[in-house]
Amino acid sequence: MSVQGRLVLGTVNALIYVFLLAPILVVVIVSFGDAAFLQFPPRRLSLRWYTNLGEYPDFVASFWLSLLLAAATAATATAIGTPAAFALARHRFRGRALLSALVMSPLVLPGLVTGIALLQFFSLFRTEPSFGRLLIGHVVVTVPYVVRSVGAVLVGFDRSLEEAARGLGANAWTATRLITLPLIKPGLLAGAIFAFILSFDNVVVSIFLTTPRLVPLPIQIYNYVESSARPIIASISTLQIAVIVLLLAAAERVVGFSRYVGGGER
Amino acid sequence: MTPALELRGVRKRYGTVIALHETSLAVAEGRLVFLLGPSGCGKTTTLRIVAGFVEPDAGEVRIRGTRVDGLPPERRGLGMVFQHYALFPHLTVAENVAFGLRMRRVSGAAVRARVARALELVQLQGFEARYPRALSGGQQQRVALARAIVIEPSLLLLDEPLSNLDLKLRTEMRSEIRALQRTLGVPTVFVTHDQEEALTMADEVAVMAAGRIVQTGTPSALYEQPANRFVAQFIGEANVETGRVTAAGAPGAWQVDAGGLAILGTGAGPWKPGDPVAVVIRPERIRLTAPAPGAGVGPADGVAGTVEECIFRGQLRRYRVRLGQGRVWSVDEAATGGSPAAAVGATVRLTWRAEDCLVIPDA
Amino acid sequence: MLLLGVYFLLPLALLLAQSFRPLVIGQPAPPGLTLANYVRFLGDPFYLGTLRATLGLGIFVTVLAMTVGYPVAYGLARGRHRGKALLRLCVVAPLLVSVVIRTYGWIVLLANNGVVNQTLLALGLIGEPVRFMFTYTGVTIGLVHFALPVAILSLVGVIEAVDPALEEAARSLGAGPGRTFLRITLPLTLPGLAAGSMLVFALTVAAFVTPALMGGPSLIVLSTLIYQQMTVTLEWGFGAAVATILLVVATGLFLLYQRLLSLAPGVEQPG
Repeated sequence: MSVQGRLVLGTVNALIYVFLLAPILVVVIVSFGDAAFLQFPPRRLSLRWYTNLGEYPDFVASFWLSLLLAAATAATATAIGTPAAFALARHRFRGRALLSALVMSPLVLPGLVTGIALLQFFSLFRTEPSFGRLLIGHVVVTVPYVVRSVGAVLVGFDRSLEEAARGLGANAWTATRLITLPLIKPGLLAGAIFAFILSFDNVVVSIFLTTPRLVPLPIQIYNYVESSARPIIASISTLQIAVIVLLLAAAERVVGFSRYVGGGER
Repeated sequence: MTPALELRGVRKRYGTVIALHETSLAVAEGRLVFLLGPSGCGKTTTLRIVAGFVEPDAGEVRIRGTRVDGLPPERRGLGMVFQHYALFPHLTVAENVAFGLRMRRVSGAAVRARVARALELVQLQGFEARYPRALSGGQQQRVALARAIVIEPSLLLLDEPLSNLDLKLRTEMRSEIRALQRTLGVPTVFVTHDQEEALTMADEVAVMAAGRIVQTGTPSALYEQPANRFVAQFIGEANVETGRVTAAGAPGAWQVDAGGLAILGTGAGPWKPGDPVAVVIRPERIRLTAPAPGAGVGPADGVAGTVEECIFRGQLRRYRVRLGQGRVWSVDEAATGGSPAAAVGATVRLTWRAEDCLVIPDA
Repeated sequence: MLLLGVYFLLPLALLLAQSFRPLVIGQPAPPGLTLANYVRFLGDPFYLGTLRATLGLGIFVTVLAMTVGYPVAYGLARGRHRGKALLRLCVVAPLLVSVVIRTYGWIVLLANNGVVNQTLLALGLIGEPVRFMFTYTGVTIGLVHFALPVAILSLVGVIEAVDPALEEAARSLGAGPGRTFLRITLPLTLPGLAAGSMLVFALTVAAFVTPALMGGPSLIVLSTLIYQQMTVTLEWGFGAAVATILLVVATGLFLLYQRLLSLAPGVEQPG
C-alpha cells in the first residue's frame, strides 16, 4: 500500500478507536472531578465522588448485590453448562440437536424478550420477587456462553490423551480429573468469566425482575441516568469497570486468557 | 548488454533482524536464474523486493536498466507465480488469466485471443469456465503460470511454485516450466529450497544463506567448485573434513592433514603450511575396493575403513564406511548388476583421484 | 438442563400464548384466543411508525457500523505490528462495559451542555448547542457505538480468511490498491459482510438501553414500546405480541446470519 494510503487508513482508524473508547474514558475521567456537577475536563482532580459513596447507600447495596449475583450466576451457569458442553461435544444421542438448540437459543433471542417471558412466567406462579428469580434469569441467558467456551476447547481436545491415561491404569473419573479438566481449564474459566461479566452488566433481563429492595447495579445506574447525569454515576460506573478489569487481569495471570477474548460476540 | 534484472547493493532489515545483507545480482535476458537456499536465507525477501511488495532499505532494483524501486508492484510489469498459486476463487479460470489484461485495459477480443493462447501454452484448453477450486493442484499451478505470462511480463518471478505438488507431478512440471520459459524466452527468477530442482532446471543458481548470496554459478560449477563448505553440503552430497595444509605439492595440489587423515587434494589456494582448510569429496568420486585377505592397507593406498552399512538405491549402492575417530563417509558404487564390492563388516580401501578431492577455505 | 428447559422454553411458550390473549393486568381477561393484539398493532399508524423507526434505525446503523468497521477490521486482520493485541482489546473493551455505562458516557458527551457541544461552541463552530439527546442523531451515534465492536469482530474473521497473496497477485497483475480492493478483497468478503450485517441488524433492532435513555419518550422503538406495555400501561397481551414481532425480526435475521456464514465461500468450506 502507498504511503498516503497507509496514512489515510491510519488516521481514519485512529479516529474510530477514539470513538470506541470515548464514552468509557469520559466516564472514568469525569468520576475524578471535584465539582458538584458534571465537568469535563475536570478543573481539579479529587476522589470526592469515591469518598462520599457512603452517602448513597442504594448504590452500595446494588454494587454488592450485583457482585454476589454475578458470582452465583457464574458458578451455576458453569455447573450446568459444562456437562452440557461435554454431552454435545462427545456423544451422539437422540435429542442431541434439540439440546443444542435449547442451549443456544437464549443466545439468539433478544434479551428483552427473554426478560419479559420470565416476568410473565413468574407472575403466573405468583412467586415472590426474589434473588432466586434474578439468578434464574441470569443463568438462562449466560449458560450458552459457558457451553460455547467449553465446547470450543473440547473440539480441539485430543481424546487419545484420555485414552492414554486409561491405558496407563486410570479409571474414567481419574482420567477426567487429572488429564481432561486441567487441559480444558482455560475454556471453563473463560466461560465462567463471560457469565460473570454478562450478569454483572445485564440490564434487559434484570429490569423486569427487580424489586424495590433488590436492584442490581446496572438497573440502579439506569434509574439514576434516567433522571439526571450526576457525577456519582461516573464513580460507581468506574468501580464497576474496575471490577471487570481486575477480574480479567487475574484470569490473564492464571491462564493466558486474552486469546479467548477475541472470539467474544453477542 | 543491459541485464533484464539487476540488484545493486540491496539491503533489508526488520527491526534488529537483517533479512538481507547488501546484495547484488544480475539476470541476463532469457535466462532462468534460481535463488536457492534453506528457509530464512533471504531468498523470498529478495524476490519480494524485486516484485515490489517489500521496499529495500538501500540499493537499486533495475529492470532492463530502469530503476523500479519505489514503484508500487502494479507498475513494475512483472509476472508472478505464488507459492499457493493465489488464484482468485471468485473468478473462473479465463477470468483469472484475463485479470492482468483487463487491468491494462486490453480490448475484449484481444483479451479472449490472448487468454486462449496462454491456456494453450499450459495445456488447459477447455477449462476456461471452471472455478479454481474445481481444479487439481497441477492444473491450478498451470492457471497461475498462464495468468503470469499472459501479460507478457518483462520478468517472471516464481516463488516456490512446485512445493505443494507431489513428487511425480513436481518432476513433470519442472520440465514443463523449463520448456515454457525457453519458448517464451522470458527472463525468470525462481525461488526454491529444493537443490535438485535448481540443479535440474537452472541456467544459473544463486545460493543464499543467512541473508547473503554465497555463490553464483551454473549448476555444474556449483557442484564441481563449491566456494565453501555450506555450498558443498547444500548442493549434492559430500564428505567434508576440516584440516590444515601440511605441504604444497604440484601447482594447485595440496597435502592436507585432516585430524590424522592424510589427504591429497586440489584447490586454488594459495595456502601456507598450517592454514585451515576443508576438503570435499563427493561419494561417487570415491573408489571402494576390498583388499585381498591379509594384505595391509598402507597410506599410499588411500584410507582404510570398515563397511557399516550398504544401502541399495536402484542405480547405485550407497556404503557408509567408518574411518575411525568418529568419521563416517558415504561412498557410492554404480550398481551394474554384479555383486557388491564389499559386505557389511568388511575392511575396505577408499581411493580417489587428487583432482576429485577439493581443498577449499574452511568457512 | 431440564431446569433450563423449564425456565426458558416454558416462559417463551407462555409469551407466545399471551400474545393471543387480550390480557391487561388488573382487569379480568375474557377467555379464548384472539388476534386482536396483532390487529391493533398493524392497524395503528403510531405502532407501525414505531416498527418503521426500528427497522429504519436498524438498517442505517448497520450500514454505518459495517462501513466504519471495515477499515478497522482490515487493519486488525492485515496489520503485523506489535500493538495489534492492544488494538484488539480496544475493540473488545466496550463489550465488557455495561451498556448503561456506555450510554451514560454518551450522554455526558452529547448533552446540550455536554463535552461535544461545549467544545464546538468554544471553537466557534456552532452558535448554539446541537441537539443530540432525544433525536435520531444521538440514538444513531449510541447504537453505532453499541454495534461497532460486533461489526468489527465479525469482519476481522472474514477478512483474515482472504489470503493476502490474492491481493498481492492482483497488484502484480497491474491492479492498484483501489482496484485490488474493489475487484478482489470486497467481492471475497461480501458474503461474510452480508452475514455480519444480519447479526449487527439483529442486535440493533433488539437494543433497549440506548433508545430508552437517549431517545427518550419522543423516539419510541419496538423494545421501548414493549417495556412501556409491560411496566407502565400493563397491557401484557399487547406487549407480548410486540415482543413476538421483535423476536421474529431479530431472531429470523440471526438465523439467516448463521446460514449465510456457513455458505460464504472461503469462510468455512474451502472445497
